[in-house]
Amino acid sequence: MRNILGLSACCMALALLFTPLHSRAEKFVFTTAWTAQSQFAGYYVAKEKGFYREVGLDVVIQHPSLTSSAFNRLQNDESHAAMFSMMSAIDFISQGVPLVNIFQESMNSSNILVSRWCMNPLKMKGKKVAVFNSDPNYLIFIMAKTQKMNYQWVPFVSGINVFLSGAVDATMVVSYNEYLQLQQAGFKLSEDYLYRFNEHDYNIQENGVYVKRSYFLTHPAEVAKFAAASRKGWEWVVAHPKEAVSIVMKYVKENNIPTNIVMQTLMLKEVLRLQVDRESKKREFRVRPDMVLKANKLMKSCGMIRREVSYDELTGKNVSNNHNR
Amino acid sequence: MNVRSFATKHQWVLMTAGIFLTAALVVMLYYGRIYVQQMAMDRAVQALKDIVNSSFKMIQRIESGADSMVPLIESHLDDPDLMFTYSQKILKENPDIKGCSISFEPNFFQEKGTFFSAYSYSGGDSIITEQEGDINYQYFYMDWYLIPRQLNKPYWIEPFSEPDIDGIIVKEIMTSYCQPLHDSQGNTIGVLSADVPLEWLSDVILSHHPFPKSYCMLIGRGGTYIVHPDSSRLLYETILTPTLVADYPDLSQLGRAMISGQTGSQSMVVDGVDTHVFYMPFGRTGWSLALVCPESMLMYKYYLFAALMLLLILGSGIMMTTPLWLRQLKSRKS
Repeated sequence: MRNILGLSACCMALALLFTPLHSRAEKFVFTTAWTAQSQFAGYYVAKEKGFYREVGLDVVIQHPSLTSSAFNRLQNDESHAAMFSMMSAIDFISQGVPLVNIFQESMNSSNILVSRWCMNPLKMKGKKVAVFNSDPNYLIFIMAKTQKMNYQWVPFVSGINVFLSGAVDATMVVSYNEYLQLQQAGFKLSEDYLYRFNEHDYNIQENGVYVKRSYFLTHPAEVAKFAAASRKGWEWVVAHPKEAVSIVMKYVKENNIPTNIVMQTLMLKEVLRLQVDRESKKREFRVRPDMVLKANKLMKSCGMIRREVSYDELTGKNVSNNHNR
Repeated sequence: MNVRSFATKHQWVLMTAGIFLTAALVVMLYYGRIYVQQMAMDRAVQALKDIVNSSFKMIQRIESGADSMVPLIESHLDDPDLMFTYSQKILKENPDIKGCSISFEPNFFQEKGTFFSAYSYSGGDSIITEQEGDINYQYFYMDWYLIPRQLNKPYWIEPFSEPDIDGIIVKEIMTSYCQPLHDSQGNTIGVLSADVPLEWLSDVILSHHPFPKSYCMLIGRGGTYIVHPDSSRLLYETILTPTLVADYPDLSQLGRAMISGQTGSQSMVVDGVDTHVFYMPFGRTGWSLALVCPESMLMYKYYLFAALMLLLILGSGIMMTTPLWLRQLKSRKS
């Protein structure tokens, strides 16, 4: 009997030894900010090239539907991590939803206001402006309030059809997506009729990956591994952009996204450009304390948040201390 | 009198006649090209008009089917549940329409809450009716609601294919005819949307081949391919997509002309073949229809004509130069 037990134990140990690493890996569900596209190339690459698996994570990449945000999935515990803008995160935290940034990719604002009728957007007081309904458009609201533009807001889901139809006089776009779509639609984009927020003292970092504070406290190793492997994924993308687009197209096809390789190539180029810090000229993958401060001040001055959220709070630097206390 | 003696006797007459004949044939060759080209272009334009006309019978049928319900809806705004009956009725009376929603502004019916959209769709043999719209499907932000609502006029929205958005499943490419609804004071209070699969339109457009090896295509307001023989391009690419990464001035010019709703034609190389593209707006939809035809097929009759003309020119050339040969022959003999 003892021999049988010993043999069984040996078999179990061997089985465990030869079990593929990923089957023992910790499951980690991550929801991107939008449907499948080059904006998330680094994460796709990290998964496809096995960078997550190497650190013991079984990462499941999910995409929100067009009308259900990444934040909802995080809130409902459908996802361990989700992606949204820094200003959204500050807003959520100030409302009492404890979140922590675990990985920051964007270093610059991609927001642009485009005029439909060949006009300077700053001379379009009272006109209809299309804004995304899925992600609060803090910068345009702040700019409109500061400049007393009195725009009429028209929330929309996505794309450029509302704008092209003439139903609105201007629209918000991001430089890596709708801006390229407008180019693809033959819309003339003269710089005179654009308002690039990052050129008007509104350069605030955008998308990063966030987890609930409770998860951050209980799974510090997982979040650190996810951040490290994601960074490795993005660095691989920088070195192999063509191959990265091929990987992106796999996800695009699986998710039936109506796009093409030309658009995804251009999107990746722009996303990578936005990752480079203007001052250091480097891809830093970090939250900038000065941008957190600036975002807070802008939002507070326009009454968007009740209290300011510190850099330490946003990045979880004070979390463990508070927790210990 | 044999030919040789005639040629010897009237050599200058022959030469003069030969010169005039050659000149006349060259002129005919030149104007023949213009004439045949014009004929071919007229035929191409007529083919485009025929497609637009035959498609528009269908489009008008859908528009009038939906329009006829508007007064009924607008006169029963006190009974929201009737909207389910009306959306069903539209489908029953218009078999071309596969889905219909009668949707209202947020909280328009207090008792129904923020979202109220009576949606009926064809589910095989039966018509399924349900309340559409909730926090996950906020219809009033969608193109089909927002655009006619903001423009306050009927609108054919850009074709779409949404494989899965929170249970709203659309497998094929659809378009919708949407028009705003008003209350008795003229305020916009909702939108009526009639969904139509694009298959019928594709069938009509792709079945037209006015010239051998020619084909038709349809693009949307933003240049997106709506109908094209290469189905992999549908909704995924615009006519201008290749111009974003390489210099294609002809394609760029064609795309911009079509998107801006012009009528015209353009010569260009398509897939290595000299091609003529004829285009015109697709009626009220805001889309643009084009006929793509290889130059060789378009000018086929001209090439036959030109071959004949060249033979005649050769003959007249011989006629023109006969006196010179005769003179040379005579001088050799002497």
